[in-house]
Amino acid sequence: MPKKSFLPTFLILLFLSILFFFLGRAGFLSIPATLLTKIASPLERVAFGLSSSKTEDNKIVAENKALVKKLADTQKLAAENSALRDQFETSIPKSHNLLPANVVSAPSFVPGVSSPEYLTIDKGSSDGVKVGSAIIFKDNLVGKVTQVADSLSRVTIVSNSSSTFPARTISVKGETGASALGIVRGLGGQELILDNVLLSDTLQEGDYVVTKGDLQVDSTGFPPSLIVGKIVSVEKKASDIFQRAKARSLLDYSRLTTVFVVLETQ
Amino acid sequence: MREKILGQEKAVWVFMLILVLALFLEVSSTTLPLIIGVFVLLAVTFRRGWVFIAAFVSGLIFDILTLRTIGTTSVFLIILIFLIFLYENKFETETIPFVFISSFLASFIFLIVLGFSNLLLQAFLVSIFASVLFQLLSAPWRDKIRQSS
Repeated sequence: MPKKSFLPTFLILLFLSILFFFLGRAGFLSIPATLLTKIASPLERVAFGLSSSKTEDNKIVAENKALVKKLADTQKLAAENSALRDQFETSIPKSHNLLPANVVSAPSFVPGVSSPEYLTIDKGSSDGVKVGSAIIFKDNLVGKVTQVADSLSRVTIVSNSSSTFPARTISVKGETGASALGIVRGLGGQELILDNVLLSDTLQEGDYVVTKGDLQVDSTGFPPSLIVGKIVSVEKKASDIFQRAKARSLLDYSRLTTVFVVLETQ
Repeated sequence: MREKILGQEKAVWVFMLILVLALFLEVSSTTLPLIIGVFVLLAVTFRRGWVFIAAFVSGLIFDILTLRTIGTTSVFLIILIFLIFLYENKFETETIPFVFISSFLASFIFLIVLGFSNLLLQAFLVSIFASVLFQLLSAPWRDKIRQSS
């Protein structure tokens, strides 16, 4: 039997893929994409729920089915209420600028154990979310919206290796007003690095790294004074131009179920 | 003959089920590029034109559900399968070393494209996943599939 040539199939599908690429970029495929994401997001939430609450599941298995359902519903409501209450009690940013969003999926290397690379939330352009909108939880910065669909958004977590933004430190050891300026870069997991800090600035273990603030006119960007992490080690050499510090986020991103989108800062 | 064709149909359905599961897991829970491993297996085992179509459709679904630019993953998968088909003319592709190395390299490049961390470890795990699946599923069905073609 002669060998079948796959070249025509390959070329046709490659052409179609490239065509879809450009159509997608131009926004012509938003309707079918929205439809598919709406169908798939409940399934994704179920999978995310399973991977992020293994210990709770083990307890639940032992109990009566009906009771378990009631308990789970009550717990979900309580967690949501607690998250909302905590969030709206915080002063920065103003509560009326925030849009609550549920985490639909948070893919990580080992689900439920390692820190996720990104989050998908159930709010999109139809809710006013834009590329560049900040995502927060209480006074902590979670990340930035990098892709927006009609009803879903993709959030790049602050500790992702592609994440970089200006930040400053807050000293908790009595030195009032001593704040170091630098650039935060994600290292993956929950690790961050505060780099490009002048040698004359003071960096100490235990200091908090907060956003410097880079809000734009269209309300994208990070509001100032959101907690990014806590410094765990400082690297300072007299021969270097800059000093740097390793920081660790205070949030366990894999456990986040509700986050808040900063829509507009007043 | 009928038994051989039925065997091939069964193999296709089993692989499609694995593909759907891998796609679902990758979209919702893990960053491991499992679909790369599955498509290396599909290309090595079946060598049919429909593998390109499956790659095209899966890539589109993956891009839509992970909110990436539509078409990126399709292009990657189609090129990967084409390269495997090209190698088939020069090397023996139905071997564990080939499956391991090709899925490792493809996963590594795919993870770079996606911008994820732990590249080597994740690529290594996908290679093991593909090699184990190859040994468990592809090897027993291989002869039936070849004979029915």
